[in-house]
Amino acid sequence: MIHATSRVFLNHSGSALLKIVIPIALILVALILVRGLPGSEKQPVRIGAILSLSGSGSHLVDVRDAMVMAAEEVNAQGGINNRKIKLIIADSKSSPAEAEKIFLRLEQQKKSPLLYVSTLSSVGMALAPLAARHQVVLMGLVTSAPDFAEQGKYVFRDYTNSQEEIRVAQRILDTLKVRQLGIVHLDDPYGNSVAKLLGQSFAAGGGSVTAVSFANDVKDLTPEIEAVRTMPAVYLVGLVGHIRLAIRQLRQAGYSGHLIAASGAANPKVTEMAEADGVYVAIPLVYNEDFLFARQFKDKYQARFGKPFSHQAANGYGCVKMIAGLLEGNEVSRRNLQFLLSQGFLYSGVQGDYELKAGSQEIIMPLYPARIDQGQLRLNQ
Amino acid sequence: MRTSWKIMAGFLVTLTLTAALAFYADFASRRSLEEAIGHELLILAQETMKRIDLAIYDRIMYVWNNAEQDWILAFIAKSNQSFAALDSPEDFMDRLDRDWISAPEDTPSPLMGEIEDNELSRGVRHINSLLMKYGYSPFPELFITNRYGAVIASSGRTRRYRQDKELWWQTARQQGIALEDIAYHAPSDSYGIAVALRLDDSDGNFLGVVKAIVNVGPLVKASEIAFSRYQSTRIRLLTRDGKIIFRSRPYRFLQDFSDTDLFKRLEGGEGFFIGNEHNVQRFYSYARSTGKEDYTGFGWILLVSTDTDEVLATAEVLHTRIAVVSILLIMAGMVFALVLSRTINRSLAALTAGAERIGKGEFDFRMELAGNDEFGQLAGAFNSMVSNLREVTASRDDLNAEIAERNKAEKALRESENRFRATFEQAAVGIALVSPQGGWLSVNRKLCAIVGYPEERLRQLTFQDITHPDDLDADLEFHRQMLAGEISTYSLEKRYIRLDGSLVWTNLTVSLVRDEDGVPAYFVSVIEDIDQRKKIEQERDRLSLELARKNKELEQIIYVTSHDLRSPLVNVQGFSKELSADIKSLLSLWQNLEISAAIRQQAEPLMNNDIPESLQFIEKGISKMDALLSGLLRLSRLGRASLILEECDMNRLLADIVTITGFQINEAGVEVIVDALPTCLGDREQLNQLFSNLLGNALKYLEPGRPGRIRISGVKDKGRSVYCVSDNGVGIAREHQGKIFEIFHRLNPTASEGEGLGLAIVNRILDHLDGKIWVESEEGKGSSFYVSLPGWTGGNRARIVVAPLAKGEKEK
Repeated sequence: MIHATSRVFLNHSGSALLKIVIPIALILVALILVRGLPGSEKQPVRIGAILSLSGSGSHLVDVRDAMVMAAEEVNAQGGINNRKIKLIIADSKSSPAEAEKIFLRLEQQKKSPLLYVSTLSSVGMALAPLAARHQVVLMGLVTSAPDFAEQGKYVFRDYTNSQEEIRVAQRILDTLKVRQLGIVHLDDPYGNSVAKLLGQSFAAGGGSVTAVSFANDVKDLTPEIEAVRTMPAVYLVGLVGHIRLAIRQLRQAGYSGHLIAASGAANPKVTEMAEADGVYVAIPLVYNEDFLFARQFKDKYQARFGKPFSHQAANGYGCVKMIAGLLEGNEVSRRNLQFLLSQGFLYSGVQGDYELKAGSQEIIMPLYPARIDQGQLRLNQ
Repeated sequence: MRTSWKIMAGFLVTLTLTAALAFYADFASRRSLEEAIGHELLILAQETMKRIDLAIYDRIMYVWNNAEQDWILAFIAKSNQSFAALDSPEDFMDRLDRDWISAPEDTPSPLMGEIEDNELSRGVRHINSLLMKYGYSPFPELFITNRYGAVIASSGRTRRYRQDKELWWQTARQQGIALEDIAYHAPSDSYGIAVALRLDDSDGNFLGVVKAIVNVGPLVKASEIAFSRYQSTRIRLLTRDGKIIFRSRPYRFLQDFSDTDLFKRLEGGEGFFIGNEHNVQRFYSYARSTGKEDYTGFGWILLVSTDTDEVLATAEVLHTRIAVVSILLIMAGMVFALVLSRTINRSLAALTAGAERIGKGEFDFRMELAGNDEFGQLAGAFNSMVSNLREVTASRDDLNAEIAERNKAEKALRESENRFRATFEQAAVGIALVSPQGGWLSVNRKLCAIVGYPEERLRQLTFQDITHPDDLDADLEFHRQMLAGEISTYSLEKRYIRLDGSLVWTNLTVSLVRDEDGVPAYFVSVIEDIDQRKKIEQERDRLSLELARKNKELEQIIYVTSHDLRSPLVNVQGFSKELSADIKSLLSLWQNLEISAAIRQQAEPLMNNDIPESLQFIEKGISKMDALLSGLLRLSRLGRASLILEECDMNRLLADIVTITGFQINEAGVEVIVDALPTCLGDREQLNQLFSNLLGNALKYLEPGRPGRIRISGVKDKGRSVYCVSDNGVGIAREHQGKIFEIFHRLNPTASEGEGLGLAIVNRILDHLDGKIWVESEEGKGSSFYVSLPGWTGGNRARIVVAPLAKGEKEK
């Protein structure tokens, strides 16, 4: 095509041109990459989640699943002040001692969590002193023990408490118009406090109470059931497994009175039991179907995990979203988080309106009387 | 700047401008999109605010409609009748109010319990429960007063029994409705707006007031459904003065928001903007409550915000794509430009190289660019141009060559003219341009000086006018021959007659200049003043003739002398011999004579010794004289002998000489070496004499005690044959070398025989043969005699007979 006379010139100019073209291209690509990765170097906001994923509180795994989804949602929207949420999830095995070990191990790490979230009253009660000592917020989920929120200014409950549960239970009992009540409760702080408060409340109304307790690792509740089987109404206080066992054995014993169970009975593992049909339960709202985002999350959760949406899941989801919303635009630090919580707030979450009054450690979550009907929880308005 | 750079820069600028245009379009579309989204969000804010207003209005109407039920109105009317029957309703209410206020919180007063449990209170709770869901109470507080302001029914605990002093009660009574902006209501531990409605009977008579605290939060939260489009949508419901009523994030009720920049941007009834909150860019739209009918809306502001990243995600994707595509396009464009520039450069380089080659004159070069693009066409045009250029250049070159030649010629002419002019004017010879007719056209100063005429005068004459009559014919003959073209130039020694009448000899050289048509234009005559030379030549010729005559006379004298002297010498020799014989006879007689001893003694030495010895001397002297005379005679005969010049085979000639002198050679014990010798033009006899003399001299002057060696060699040199006769004899002292060719000169008269004529004869022979001789010798080592003779050219095979002439005659 051409003569070879210009080869040297061309090689020279070609290399010179490439020396111009390549740096320009690299600079442009670098500009795009830099622009496309804003805030990518910021440290994440760590949340230490010491959850009961196995053991007696294994049903609380829903909390973990929902927390993960909530963190994903928050991160998808930029995180907290452009900092991603990083959940450090650890299994307490429903053991307070194990939870303490996990807490201390996480605290010894260079990058310790901003706050801790725990499930189960016994675990929360064990971690509360550590949280106070380390001046880090501990948020108790599915933690009803009345004394939990009294463990210092760093310990907050994001769940209904026993008193609220008892208030609702009392309303149920008032509706049933029974004057004798048997209480079968777990022998732990949660169970004991509920039994005590309910007994006092019921007795104040002129009724009589027979309360029996069982150990956490109980396998047979026959003696306890035998003690209350003559009562017109029996109130069951314990974890999901305990409630399942009690309901089953009560039904097997031919108990025909009214069964009222603590909030653990709202778990699908209970509601799905045929023997649980007709059991009354004081529950927090699982989700407010009037709220679009609540419906959307419920559907996403069920689609993702293939299991019914539970109020424990709603609790976990709401907690992460609430913390993220609270910290938005504010300094992300342990001290400031505690300060913000101490200021109190109102918040409309999946389960309805939450309120944390200034100076309180209790994030009030409304409870509602409900009845298990053919595997579903029906609110008794 | 190189073309490639220009192309690259052009592409880069174009692509950059295109990218800039794309970015501008992206920017403009983003702005348009932002505007559209802002309007969309504004509409959503307006609609949501309307929803909230409507929901609150519905709540108000719900209360109003349910409170105006007949049985409720009847209940109120009955209460009014009871109060009317009292002596002092005021005192009654004050008393009960005090009891109401003073009652412990957990222990209601009897009246309070009675009221809470009456039929109307149950109805009120029923009204409340109809809208309750998930435990939300639509009306945390709902109570009814009679026309006196006393609480007659309540869904819960009221703060006071007597309400007639309250502004809302009075307002409701007077205006039919009273509204209080949102506030915390301690009795119900709730947040809501307060609405009080006047209740009348069917005749329009004032019956009482129903008051409700409307729970706003669930209404606002439920309105979020309007923002389902974007997940990042958040709302704030603010009071007129910037207190937070509701927020979709955790908030503190009635937290002051008025100090924020965002609130300060909420001007007018509605609008939208893009703001930054907590380092996140968000769309904001806002709408103010306008209420509905009697519900005024309190001037609440609904502030809606959405993360721009989510809203503009599509635009951002487009932006990124535009950026990436732009960059890719720029890179691709640059690569394309590079390839294109390379292609163009190749073509340009080929064209450049071709142009350079053509510029160097390679008009046979042809561009070979493929394709039908502009470069191909250019190459074709280029080739056509080169073809034309070659033709034009050839013509141009011819023209240039011609011009150059002309310039050169002109220059040469000018130089020639200058030289000619200089030569003409300053020449040492006379120069003239002469017309074909002989007129002096132009003459230089020298000529004027030679012929003694002023220039002007001379130019009026012809050469014929001043030419000596004896020389004119010859001159005219040459003149004619030249005009006739028979000769191109001629030289002639002629005489001019000077103005003063004297003659001057000149050497005239004439050439003819013709014009372009061959017509004789003028003669160029160069006149050299040879008058002096002519006179010298005439004197020389005279002297030569005189010398020749003298030589001839001398030769004649020598010849005559030698010839004539020989006769008496022969007589002397004869008589000497006869005397010698007589002496011998006399001596024999003497022997027989009786002579006294004294006489004998005196006479006998004379007769036996002195006389014979004298006779012997005489004979020797005679012999020597004879030899001298013979030599002189021979020498004189050389000048008179005829020469036969011919090719001489010197090898044969020398071989004959060596053979003849073989006896002497052998006797002397000399080694004689004769190399191959070139031929020459000469006279064999005289050459024989010449080389015999040289060989004889060599034999004669050998170094005693040293084996003699004689070598005869010869070479051709510049048309001549040069021979050398060398020996290792005694050699010749430097002071003698110039004299050895003189007559009668002898190197060592006592040591050798001879008359001193050999080399003189040699020299004389060589004079006749146009030869030369010279000697190179070193005393004690030997001598070399060089003889140079005309070489035989081979073209002259005829024998040339040359009459004996004197040298002067021959030169002449």
